[in-house]
Amino acid sequence: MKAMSSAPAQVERPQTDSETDVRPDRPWVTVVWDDPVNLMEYVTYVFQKLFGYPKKKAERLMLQVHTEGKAAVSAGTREQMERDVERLHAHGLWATVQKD
Amino acid sequence: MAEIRRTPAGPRVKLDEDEMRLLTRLADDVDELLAGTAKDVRSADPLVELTGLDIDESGVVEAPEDPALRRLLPDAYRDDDEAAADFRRYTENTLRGAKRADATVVRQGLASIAVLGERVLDGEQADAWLRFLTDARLVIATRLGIETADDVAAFDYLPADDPRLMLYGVYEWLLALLGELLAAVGS
Repeated sequence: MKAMSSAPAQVERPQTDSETDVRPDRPWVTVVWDDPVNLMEYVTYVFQKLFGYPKKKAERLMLQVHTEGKAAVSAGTREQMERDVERLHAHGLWATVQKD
Repeated sequence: MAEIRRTPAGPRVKLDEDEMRLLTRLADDVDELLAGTAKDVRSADPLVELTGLDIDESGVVEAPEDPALRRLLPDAYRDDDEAAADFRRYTENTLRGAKRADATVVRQGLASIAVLGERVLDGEQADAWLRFLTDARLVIATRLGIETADDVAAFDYLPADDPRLMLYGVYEWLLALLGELLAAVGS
C-alpha cells in the first residue's frame, strides 16, 4: 500500500532548475500552496526528499510558497506532475497540477 | 517528556505514558477518519486488487465533505472539476491507504516503546512518523478552524477557560514533536 512512500532510491532525480525551465516538453507544473499549518523545515525536507533538490533550492522554494502563497516546484508532462502531486499529498502538502 | 535523539541507526524516540496514550488515540482517530465509508469493500473485487484502480460501480469518487478529510485528500486541480474528479477516482483510495499505513507504523512504534521504553526508527519509519504527525496536525487545525497565520496567532490570546485550548495544546505539542523528529532525522 505504501507506493508513495519514499525509499531512498526514489530520491535520485536529476537536479535541474525545473521551475525556470519553460521548454515546450515541460508544459505542466506542480504548484504547492501555502498553508499556516505545515512546518517550514518539514516543507523543505519534503522538497529535498521527493525531488532530490539540494537544500538551498528546497529552502528557496519553501520560502517562495511562504511569502508568495505558492510556488511551482516541478515541471514536466501531465502524468509526471500528477505523480508529484500524489506524492506531495501523501506528505500532507497542498499541491495542484496546472498547465504552465 | 518526549525525547528524540539522533543516533547512527536513526532517531531514537522516548515518550512518557500520557504522550503514548495521546498519540495512540490520534493514530486511531486519523485512521478511522481515513477509513471513512469503508472503500475497502471494493478491494474484495479481484479486478480492483489486480489493477489497483479506485473505481466504484458508478465510476465516481466524490470529494469528501468533512473539511479535515478534504484537507488530507485535497483536489489536485484548482479550476478543473472534471480533472480533479478523475484524479480522485484513480488515486484517492491509494492515498487513503498510504496515510493509514503511516498511522499503523506509528502505532507499531508506540507498541514497542511501551514494552522497551524507546524505539529507534529507520528511515522509512521516521518518514511515516513525520507524515503522520503532519496529517494529525492538519486534522486538528481544521477542527480548530485554523486557515490563516492570523488564526493561529489568535489562539495565543484565548482566555484560559476556552474549551479549544486543550486541543490547541495538542496541536502545539505535535508541532514540537515534529520539529524534534525532523532535527533528529537531519537533512
